[in-house]
Amino acid sequence: MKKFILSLVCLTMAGIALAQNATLPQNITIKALDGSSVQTSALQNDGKPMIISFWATWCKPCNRELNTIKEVYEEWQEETGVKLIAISIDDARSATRVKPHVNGNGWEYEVYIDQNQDFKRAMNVVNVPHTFVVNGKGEIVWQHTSFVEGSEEELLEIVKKAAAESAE
Amino acid sequence: MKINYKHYTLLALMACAGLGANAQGIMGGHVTGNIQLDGQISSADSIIGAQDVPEKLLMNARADILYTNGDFSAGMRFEAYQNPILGFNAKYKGQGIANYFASYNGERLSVTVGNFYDQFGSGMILRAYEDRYLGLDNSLLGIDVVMRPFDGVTIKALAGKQRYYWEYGAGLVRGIDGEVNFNSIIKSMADSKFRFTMGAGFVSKYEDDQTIPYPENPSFKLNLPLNVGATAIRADLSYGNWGLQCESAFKGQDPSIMNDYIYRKGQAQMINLTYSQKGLSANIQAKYVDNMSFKSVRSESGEMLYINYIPSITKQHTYAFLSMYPYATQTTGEMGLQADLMYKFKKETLLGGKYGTDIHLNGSVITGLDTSRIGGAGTYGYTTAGFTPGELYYADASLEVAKKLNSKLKLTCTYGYQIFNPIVEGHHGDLHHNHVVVGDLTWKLNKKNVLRFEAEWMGSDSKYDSNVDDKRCGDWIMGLVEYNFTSAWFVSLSDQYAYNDGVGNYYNLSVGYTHGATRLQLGYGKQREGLLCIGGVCRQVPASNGLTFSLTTSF
Amino acid sequence: MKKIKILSILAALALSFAACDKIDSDQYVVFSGAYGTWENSEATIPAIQRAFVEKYTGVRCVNCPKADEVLHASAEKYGESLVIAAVHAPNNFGKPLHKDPDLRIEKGGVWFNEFFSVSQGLPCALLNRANGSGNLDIIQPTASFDEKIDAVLGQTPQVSLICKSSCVKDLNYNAEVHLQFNQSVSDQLTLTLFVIEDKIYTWQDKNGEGEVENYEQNHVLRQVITDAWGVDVEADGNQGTKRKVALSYELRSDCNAENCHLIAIVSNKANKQILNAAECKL
Repeated sequence: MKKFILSLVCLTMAGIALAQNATLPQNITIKALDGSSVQTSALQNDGKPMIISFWATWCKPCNRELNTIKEVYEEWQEETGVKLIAISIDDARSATRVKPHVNGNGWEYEVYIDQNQDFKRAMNVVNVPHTFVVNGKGEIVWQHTSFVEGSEEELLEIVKKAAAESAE
Repeated sequence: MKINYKHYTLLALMACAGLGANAQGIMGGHVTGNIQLDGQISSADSIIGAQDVPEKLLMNARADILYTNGDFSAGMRFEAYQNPILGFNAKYKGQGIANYFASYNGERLSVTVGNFYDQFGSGMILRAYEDRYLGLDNSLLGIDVVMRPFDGVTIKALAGKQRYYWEYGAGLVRGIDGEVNFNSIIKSMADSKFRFTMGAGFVSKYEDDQTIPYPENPSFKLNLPLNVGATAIRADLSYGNWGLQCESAFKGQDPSIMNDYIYRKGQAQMINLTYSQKGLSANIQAKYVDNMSFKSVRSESGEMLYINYIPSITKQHTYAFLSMYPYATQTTGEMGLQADLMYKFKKETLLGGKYGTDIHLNGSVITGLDTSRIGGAGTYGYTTAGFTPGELYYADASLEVAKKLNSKLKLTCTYGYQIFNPIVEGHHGDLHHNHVVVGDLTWKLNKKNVLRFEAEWMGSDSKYDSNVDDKRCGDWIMGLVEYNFTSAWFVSLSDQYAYNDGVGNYYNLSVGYTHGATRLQLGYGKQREGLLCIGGVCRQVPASNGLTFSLTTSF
Repeated sequence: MKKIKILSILAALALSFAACDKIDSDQYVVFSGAYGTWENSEATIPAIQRAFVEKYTGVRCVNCPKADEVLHASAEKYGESLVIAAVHAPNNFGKPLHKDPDLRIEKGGVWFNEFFSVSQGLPCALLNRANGSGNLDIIQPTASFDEKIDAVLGQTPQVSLICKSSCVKDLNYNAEVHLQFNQSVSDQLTLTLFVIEDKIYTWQDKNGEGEVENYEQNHVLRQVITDAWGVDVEADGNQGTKRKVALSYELRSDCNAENCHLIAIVSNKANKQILNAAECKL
């Protein structure tokens, strides 16, 4: 019973703290496509919104999402200044395929590999695809798991809102 | 009782740290987390391998709570298995705080105490990780220090014991790893097209002595090494569109139940060459593994307590029939080759049509090693004939063509051929030769309504034999219809049916609702274990028969 | 320079982490002291009664060479029917002279302390550890000694046994013992195995001659393979039952295997009385 009470206390604490928007975790190490290490504090977009999308090479919905956005990415960038950062959770089995996969698909996104899944854990990602929208202040304002054709429209609305807030 | 009060003390400290920070007016920090519930109301079905469940309701639950305040973070995980769902080891039964940690993440130094996950390179000598859907958790309980003394250099040192269900394995794991990115430390290379990263690591495992009888003569026992060391060196080079990754690992004498207590040393070699440009990517990969099973407890034969991780190089397929025979790395010995080619035919070309066409070719061959046996436990084990291949374990080839037909229709067609040797799953038998054809059509009715159809066929020369009880044998057909209303709702209906030489009829109806990072899914029917991608996400699912439900949420 | 220093310290740290034990191929297996399992035997086991004499001696015991002469004569007379072990006593009589190797062993001391008091003079001996036989005065003329041996050999054996020895490699030996119940035995029996060695040359204090060099010590107890009081015989004890057990051991490296014999004795666990014995070359 004690355990349940404690768990409840923890969840309540969680609820209180939730009142504020969480920010992106800093100083978590991820890998750039050239093999060098990068800290998550380097994920920045000059006060404009960012989309952070967790994906994997073997995940079809993830690939559909990133390919769908690719078609409209330039328009989105012009309209809102948004930057998409794609975080691959591929492990050793497929991590070496990430770079050719990205180039082959012609994705113009910033892509990182989170092989040890530290970033994934810090962001509480359970399934892929899992997409976050971060506003100009670095706060996570929206998140969504799963992708279906058409849902990129909803994402754009959120990004527009975040961009408008940032501009204020 | 699975937990002791030390954990609570730590939690209290973590809570106080958070509150203290609040009181002093420093940024209050954030609590985030995720909750996952998976349940089954299951009935036995020998045809699909779902076991009888006397409890009727099986449920796994877990909640990760993470507190972050600037560079400081702390977290814990509550897990409850009452009782574990099918596919999870019965040793998980119980509930409690399975995982807790406190961590400082500075710019130059990170320290984690408690349960942590980390890996050296690709994990050939050390990878502490978890796969929540497979019930795998190799987290280390101990201390993990990561130093970045200057840009481009990372040094890790760690020590701990591995999680074993609700306990910790007796073996102590210690390791150190260094990685240097030459483009960062050598100024003249900073903007070079040539990118170069190198790393090396050592891992040592200590385990107390125990009596393992020498089977040839029971009055003798094996003289066990108490310290087993492993080392790996790796390099990641790229020049423009070209990339080359290699990693080489060696392990000292490590007699264990996994290698039948032989004294041969282990090694693993991996090399990967890639070329990519816009619209074209290719990679070729070779792997050689000899006696590289590395566990922190020598007598553990199950899926737990692996210190290292040697992945399969075969492609991770996501269509049901293509992934029906997944290939698992034979850490005791295998060699293989894999090649992958992706090409996009441009728009407005003969093959590209109006929207372009993607083709994806993939092939792999995995064999055993060509070995000569010396003896069993208490001997050197075997010798190998260098890099000569042995018995065929697995081979596959697949061609996938994806084409957008018009603004509403997108079609993907896949053909795959597989040869599967049941020996990789520990059974002797004939090779299975399978042909698989998949058609996948997405029909975007309008902005909010999307229909998806999937049809699969598998022709196999294997026949169901009740003595072997491999439920994948025979010829199969499958159909799937999925309807999505925006990304919020989906309904999917599918059926897999063995129409020739096989047994089984796996029908499944699933309904899902997603709102933000919360997702609820209900299913009814018979489910084969494996990777399942419906409703816009991919996840590993266990075999089940009956009603299943799943809730995940992040906050 | 600083960078190099840091890196070299870390490299040293790395090496200390990289502990890895190396085991040479001749050390993959070691004797564990574990015993093989008892099984039924098919061997032919003749129903022969033998007598076992354990003589307690010492290199500083001036009268002991006399006892050796008596035993030697009996050994000649009875041949294989008489099994002898010379135990160097765990007291000052057994203490080596000059730079000789110590012929006393721990389990020999266990035996001595079980049957004799601290003040026991040497030489002394036991015949089949029989009740009432007590200390045999083996300085007596041979005839009186032989009488007692004759009495033992005249019995019908309750249990008879044979032993076999083989070398696995180097100093690793296998011992195999087959035993047969010629009559039903209800008491728990034990089996004790040990190695004796002949032709060990040491200094010996001798009555009238003083310290003599190169004195030939025979039947010297060198190594008890089982526990001092043996291992339980796993058998139902019914008449006609035949059982066997195999066990392996590593011979002491200072033994000359050519001069060694393996002795197996079957005793009553409760009163330690010996029922029968067997001997074979190593």
